[in-house]
Amino acid sequence: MNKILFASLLVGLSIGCAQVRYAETAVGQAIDNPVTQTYDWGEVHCGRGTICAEVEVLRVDTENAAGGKVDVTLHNRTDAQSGLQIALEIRDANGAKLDGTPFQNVAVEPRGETVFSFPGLYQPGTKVRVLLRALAQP
Amino acid sequence: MKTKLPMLFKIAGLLALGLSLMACATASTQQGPTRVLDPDADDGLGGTGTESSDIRTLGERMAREILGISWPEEGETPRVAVLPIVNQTRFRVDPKLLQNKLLKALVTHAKGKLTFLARDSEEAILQERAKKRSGMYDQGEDAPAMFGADYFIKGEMRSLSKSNSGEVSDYIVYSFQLINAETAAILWMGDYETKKAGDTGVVYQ
Repeated sequence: MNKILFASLLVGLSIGCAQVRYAETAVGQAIDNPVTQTYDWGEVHCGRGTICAEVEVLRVDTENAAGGKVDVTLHNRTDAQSGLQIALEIRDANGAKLDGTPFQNVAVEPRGETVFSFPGLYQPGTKVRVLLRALAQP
Repeated sequence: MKTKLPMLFKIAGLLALGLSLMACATASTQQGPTRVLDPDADDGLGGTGTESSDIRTLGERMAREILGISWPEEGETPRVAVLPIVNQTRFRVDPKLLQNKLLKALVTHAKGKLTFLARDSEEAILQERAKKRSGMYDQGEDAPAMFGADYFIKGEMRSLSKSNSGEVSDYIVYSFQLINAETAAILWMGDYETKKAGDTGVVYQ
């Protein structure tokens, strides 16, 4: 009887290991949750919500031509210099990625704004996805 | 029996907990001393010079800008040669890294709109052609002349650096020009710039 109980406890805990990790990551996600903000032109995604809280995408302007330029206006809401990385994706109506850029470093002055341009990327009729992340990955 | 059961449970529980924690510790995506990083990510080592993200970004940006200009759509496909990039900064950066990244982005995004010339492989091409002409290799008689360039892409890195006892600041400008190879006219110019300040003592190798 004891052996059965012992074995079932072992099995239970081994299975539980993944559940513990799920719980840990869920707590982490709850504290600094990923944020996706949806707009007419597309969406802004921050893997860590604190980044979106500190720096907001004020507007996205697109040159409505194949290979057009995309201008992303960023606003630093904090009193400190912000350093972050920004990437852009072009997605079709079904959400499939058509084109994209690597993550690029960008600095925004305290309470300031900056326009960051992505040349040769836009395609008419598509959605723009702006990805923001911290400059230094923990 | 009744008095032993809770003790057995405690021991079994501790053992099981230990084992499961060991299992948790071994199966994780968290990394050890050697970290595998995304090439765009900051490595946390500091430094105010050229980073991998700068190289990737400027290759991508310059290529898209160059391809965005009004290229002639009729006649022969324009031929472009990328000249060796000159590094005039204080940092030891292999300029070929930039050149290759730029060329890769150009070839990827051009989709046949332009022809790019492998000028840095010229020696090997000449040797191959000589062997073909001598009859050592076949196709000697049909081999066409090598392509001449219609345009050059010229690039250079220059910097403005300053420091005090503990800190250093570097402003680096990567400039690129598209030059008509017949007339020397500059048809396009683009740049990418970074300004970074930080501690001294980071060595670029």
